[in-house]
Amino acid sequence: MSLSPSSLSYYLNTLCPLSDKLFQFSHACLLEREAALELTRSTFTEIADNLPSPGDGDTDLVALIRTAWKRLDRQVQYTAPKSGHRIFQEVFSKMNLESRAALISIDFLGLDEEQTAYALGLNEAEVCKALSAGRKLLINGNY
Amino acid sequence: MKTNLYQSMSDDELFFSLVDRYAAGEIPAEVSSRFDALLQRPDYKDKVEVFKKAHGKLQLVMDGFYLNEEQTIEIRSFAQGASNMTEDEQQGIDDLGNESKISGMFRFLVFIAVFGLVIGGAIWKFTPEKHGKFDALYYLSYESTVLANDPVGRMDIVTADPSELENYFAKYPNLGFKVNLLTVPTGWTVKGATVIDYDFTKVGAILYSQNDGSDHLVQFVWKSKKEDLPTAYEGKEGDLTYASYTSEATNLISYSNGDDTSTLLVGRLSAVQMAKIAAAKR
Repeated sequence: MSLSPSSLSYYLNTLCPLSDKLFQFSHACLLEREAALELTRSTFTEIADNLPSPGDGDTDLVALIRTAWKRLDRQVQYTAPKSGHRIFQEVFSKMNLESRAALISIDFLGLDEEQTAYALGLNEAEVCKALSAGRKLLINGNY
Repeated sequence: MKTNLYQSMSDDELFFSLVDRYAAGEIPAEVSSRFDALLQRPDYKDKVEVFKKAHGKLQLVMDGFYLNEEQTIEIRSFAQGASNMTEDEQQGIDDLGNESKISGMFRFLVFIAVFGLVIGGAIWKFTPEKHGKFDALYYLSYESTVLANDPVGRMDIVTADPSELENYFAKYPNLGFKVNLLTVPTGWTVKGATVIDYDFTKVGAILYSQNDGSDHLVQFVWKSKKEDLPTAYEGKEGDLTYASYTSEATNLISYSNGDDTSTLLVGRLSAVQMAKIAAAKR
């Protein structure tokens, strides 16, 4: 697959600046830096071969998260390494994967419930359930 | 519109999924009475404030995770393999070969060079001007601690005279913006200032201390836009709109100065106390 100049521009100027955000999403989901880096790399490789339609900033990030979420193995029980940050060990590792994904998407990346539902392939009720469980642990964890 | 969704939620689900909207004063009308009733219960009573703090910490911690320059370049390079050459560019390469009597090896080298130029040119053309990532909360929280612990060693100018400090900033080479000092309350004094010169931006820093030295407040001013800082809950003090953050040891508020600069205040005062000081000058 080849990229036209406009597609190359979209990849480099719009999607690449979102790589930190995708990495942060991946890190919160997988709890481990190297695994998050690998998911970020593989997502961008897939995106480079199959560019989504340009969005309006927020939706560009949604497309990246949706691609990453599909690539992620949801059967694996991810654990935070002992060398990882306290927030991964004491808060995120107690949440299930959907709660981590919903919490980071909404409370850190600024997506709304509808965008998060689309990115994670859930309905809004499932997103609210996952988000509330995540926030409850975040709040009661007194981190 | 979402009434059915809210009705089907348990108390926990409703409270924790809407606590952010309550904190922002945007609780949906159809659930406001139920939410207010939950707030009367001891198990939910203080949770809104705890959520605000936890949210601020989450922002600070997650902002500390980002790709380094090498990793960013690697991700950008994924597009190189997928780039194409236009027919004209290919024809140009073919013409070079046909028209010359050079050896096959030389033609191959020309091909490589032109291909490199095409790809390199495309990457260069579409790459935005490169600035290092400036994570203001991360860097300036650290700088505030260092300044407060070693003011004499870290500051360019040590004086309690505000006009001297304003003069220092006005004459600082290539600073590119104006720094207005705060009007600190009685019992506080300005101690001095410095300019922190990162590769991609300069930051004006002013240290204020309580007269007995028991507490400090650091004011940072630099060229930035509001969206350069992570999102946070906004507060208002007079005509000042500010965002507040918190970390283990300090509170931080940020606000736009109305030009192309922002101010970040870091200290142990509460966000509201810092906002009152900031608003006093305006």
